[in-house]
Amino acid sequence: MTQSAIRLWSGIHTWTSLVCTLFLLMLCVTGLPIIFHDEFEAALNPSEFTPGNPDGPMLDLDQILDRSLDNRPGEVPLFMSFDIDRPVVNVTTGPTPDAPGGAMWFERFDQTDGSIVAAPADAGGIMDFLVQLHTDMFLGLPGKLFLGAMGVSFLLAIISGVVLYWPFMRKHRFGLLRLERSARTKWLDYHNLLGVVTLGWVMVVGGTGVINTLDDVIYGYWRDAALADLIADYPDRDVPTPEEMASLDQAVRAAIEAAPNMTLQFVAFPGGTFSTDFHYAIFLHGDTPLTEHLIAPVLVDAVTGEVAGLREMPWYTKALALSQPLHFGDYAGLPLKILWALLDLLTIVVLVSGLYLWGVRKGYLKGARRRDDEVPA
Amino acid sequence: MTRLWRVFAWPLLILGLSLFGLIISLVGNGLWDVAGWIGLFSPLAALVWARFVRAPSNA
Repeated sequence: MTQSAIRLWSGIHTWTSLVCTLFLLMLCVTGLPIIFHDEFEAALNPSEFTPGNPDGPMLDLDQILDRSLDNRPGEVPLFMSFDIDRPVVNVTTGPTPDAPGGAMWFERFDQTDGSIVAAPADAGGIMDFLVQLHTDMFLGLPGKLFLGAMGVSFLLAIISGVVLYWPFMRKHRFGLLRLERSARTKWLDYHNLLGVVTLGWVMVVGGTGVINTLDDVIYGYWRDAALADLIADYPDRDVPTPEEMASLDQAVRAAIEAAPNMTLQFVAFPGGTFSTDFHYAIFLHGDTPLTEHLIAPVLVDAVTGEVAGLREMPWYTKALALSQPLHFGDYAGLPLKILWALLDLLTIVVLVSGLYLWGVRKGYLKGARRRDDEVPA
Repeated sequence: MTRLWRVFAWPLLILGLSLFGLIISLVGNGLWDVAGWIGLFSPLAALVWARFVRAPSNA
């Protein structure tokens, strides 16, 4: 590698890193507690849920829907989802069918008696706050896309870092840590070693993080492209009101019948991102470890109750669906979460040591003079 | 070429083990999860080795 090539890659590494470092630090710090949000919630909510009427018949989904709309007069249903381990149905409502996330209302209903189930304790909403900061910094779609751009910059910093690993390490064996040398040399070695050993994890978590920032865009595109044929037959018509809608319970039963070997996950009501203006989109997921992350909707006409069929998802929404577990690290028990946390901490060390090395080189921080074989990165 | 290989052999192995670990846990449960933990432990194992086995004999 020539000196000028090293200087070029070094410039790329410095600038792509400087652009994103502070945001990446925020993401790593907020992401750390979020990894354990399930454990956090379980610890704050030690008492088990007890059904109000355990021996009686379950309410059907139309009754639950009525309860939720009585509870939020004037609103329309947006989503309905189902707890796995307890008879609880969650209903999201909002002022309009295309209401943004901030205007949505989420409520849990006991399916045995229709009563409202208390929201789990969240220590003053700290977890919600962290998740929101981590996802879009309270700025909605622009904030999300901005963090996605920071992620792209981070990926470029990683690639240029791998290229620069070569001139640094070509005269050394793997695992070089000159602990007895100056602080600068020691942290340079840590930066290089930690950067290169966390490479695989950080590329996957960074890359899937970028993909996840595009979720609104991807589902919006899917809705417009893949469901267009379904609405071609409909004349100009408004999104049906709750009073006009066909039985949801029957629609869900029909959907389950139309998709054998799949498990009900959630219902998207007409007019939102996950459906057309005229259909219930009843999403189911597969029942193997891999396909349980992959969802596909059965579309049901929300007025007539006619089943339009199961829609396989295209590759780009499948890629998005698989990007979620690969970003969250929640798919292989607590040991994986602990590894996720440790690798996250190592990434913080790489970011901070990178900032430190830059500060030393610019003379902002005191540090040993660099030697000739220590090309600045 | 051999020098390039020598510098990147260990990083490539750890990269491969990490990616293997990330994917294998996603495809199955039980033993597949355990295989994933082992694969993803490789970066930490390399760090511990470099700090406590290799570093003292570094000078």
